[in-house]
Amino acid sequence: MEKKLILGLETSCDETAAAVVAEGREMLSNVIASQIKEHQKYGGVVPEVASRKHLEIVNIIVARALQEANCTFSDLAAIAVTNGPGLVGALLVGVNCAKTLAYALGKPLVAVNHVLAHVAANYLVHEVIFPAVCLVVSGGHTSLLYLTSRSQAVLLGGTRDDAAGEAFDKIARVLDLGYPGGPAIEKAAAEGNPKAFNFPRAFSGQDDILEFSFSGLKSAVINNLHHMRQKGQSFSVSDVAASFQEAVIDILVEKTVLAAAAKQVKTVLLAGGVAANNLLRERLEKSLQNDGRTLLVPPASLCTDNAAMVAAAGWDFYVSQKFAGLDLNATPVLDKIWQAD
Amino acid sequence: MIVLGIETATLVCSVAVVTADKMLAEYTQQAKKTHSERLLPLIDSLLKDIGLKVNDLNGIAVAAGPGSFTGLRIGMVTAKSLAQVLDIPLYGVPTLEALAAQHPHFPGIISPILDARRKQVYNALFLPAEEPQRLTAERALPLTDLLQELEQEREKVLFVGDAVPVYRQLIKEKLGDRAHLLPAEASICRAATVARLGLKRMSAGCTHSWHDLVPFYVRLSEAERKYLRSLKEGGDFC
Ligand SMILES: [Zn+2]
Repeated sequence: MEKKLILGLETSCDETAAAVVAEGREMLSNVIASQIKEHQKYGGVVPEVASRKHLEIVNIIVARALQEANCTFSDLAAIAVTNGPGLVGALLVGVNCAKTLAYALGKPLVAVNHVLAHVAANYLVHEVIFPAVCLVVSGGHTSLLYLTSRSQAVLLGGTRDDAAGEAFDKIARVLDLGYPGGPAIEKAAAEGNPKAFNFPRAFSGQDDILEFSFSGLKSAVINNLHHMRQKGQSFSVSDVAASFQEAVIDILVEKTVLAAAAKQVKTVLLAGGVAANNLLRERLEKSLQNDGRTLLVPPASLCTDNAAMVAAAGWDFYVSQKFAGLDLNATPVLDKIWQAD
Repeated sequence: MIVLGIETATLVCSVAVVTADKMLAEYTQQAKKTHSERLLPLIDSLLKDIGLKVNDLNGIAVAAGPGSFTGLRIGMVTAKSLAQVLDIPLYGVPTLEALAAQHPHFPGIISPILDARRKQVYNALFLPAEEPQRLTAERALPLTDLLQELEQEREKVLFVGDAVPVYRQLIKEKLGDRAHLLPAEASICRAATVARLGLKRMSAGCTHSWHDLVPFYVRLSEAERKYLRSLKEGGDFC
């Protein structure tokens, strides 16, 4: 029998992406149009600019994804789309494109949570044994999830304020390192001393808390810089970047190790744009190995926003026939529990 | 030729199906729901009620702006995606032109005004006709500026659009009897007119493509304007 194909669509932030994935695993195409250049001059993603760019290109990206997968609209089994969380105006472009495609084709529509989609990037490259714990870290999210299957997830803890990636962007900006902040900080930090400054690690040592907070860390870095600049004190940008990165990674590793132990899982997954940070991968892998656990990470190209992960996540909802209606809307906030079956 | 018209430039959500000489159906509503929740269900029930399938459509006409940025994008991505899947022509009809085309026999000038926020309106001036003749380009300007411009004229002026109820008083004050204002139901932009104008252009061989049709926003985004201003002033942007 022919394999069932899902077309995935993703427009939650600043990448317009479409992809065709067979049965939740096999990536046939993965087309991404990044808007990073558009937003660089503003020092961050501008929602209205992002929405306009998505609309300009989304249908072309869909056509390209089909072409690269060597298939046509009629070969598709369903359409999957990210409907949140993310920038509302940006999400609405993808959601309404996907709804219309599904309607005109008479095919089912599946709504996918963006955080679960990041998790699903792992299913494209790894055979995951459940239960597992996943840390999703990106510009928009810092979430610890407990997974009992591909389609069942519980949120163990999120961030009380900023996402880790957001903190990277902000600190990169105050250090004049440019946008996006993650790679910029990582590069600068490589030559710095991670112990030069002792920045705060929120909830460290509090084993009953599986949540994150980065606003205190952000203010501490900014205040430090402010004082040093005011006093005319010279300092090394690399040292600040390295010490900041160290604080973020320390807390991400500590809470993930804690969650894995609490849930007694053998497998831990890493996902999201910040998963591309090499030091985070290394440190987390080492700490988990000490406890006899395995860390799985998708390749960097699948860590940042893409639509193959959306199509992969959508597969499980398709199988359990959890379809969305024509009145599907964008939902900017995050649910606590997801279940496909 | 069976054409579907889509109008989501303001709070009104309107869809219609027309042929060269008939309006088969039009659903128009102004409810609390968002365009994203309403538009496709409305298209679906409209087609069902007149016994048509989506594949029976031969063309898509969409109000292309100006108007609410988000509203325009929802209408346009829906129109583009339909045109893409069904492989049929598409036409983006200027919103203000469609508003003017609803009143082809008014003896004077037609002045559509849409609420553009920040104390401005979207406007262009037209001479009435089934395909109105444009006197100015689309612009966003304070209503007082528009009224000053119109005070120089002698003709009667018909105001249509969602900004009319907001500025009724001011318009009457400045232009007196020369100003003609319509009741709410005659002042909104309707998809049947969008579809009619689109059908006319498409039958004449004039079409847009789903590859490159974008809304006529008229205005830049807030961030772009600030950025351009900063370049001009040579100052700091952030
Ligand atoms: Zn993401």
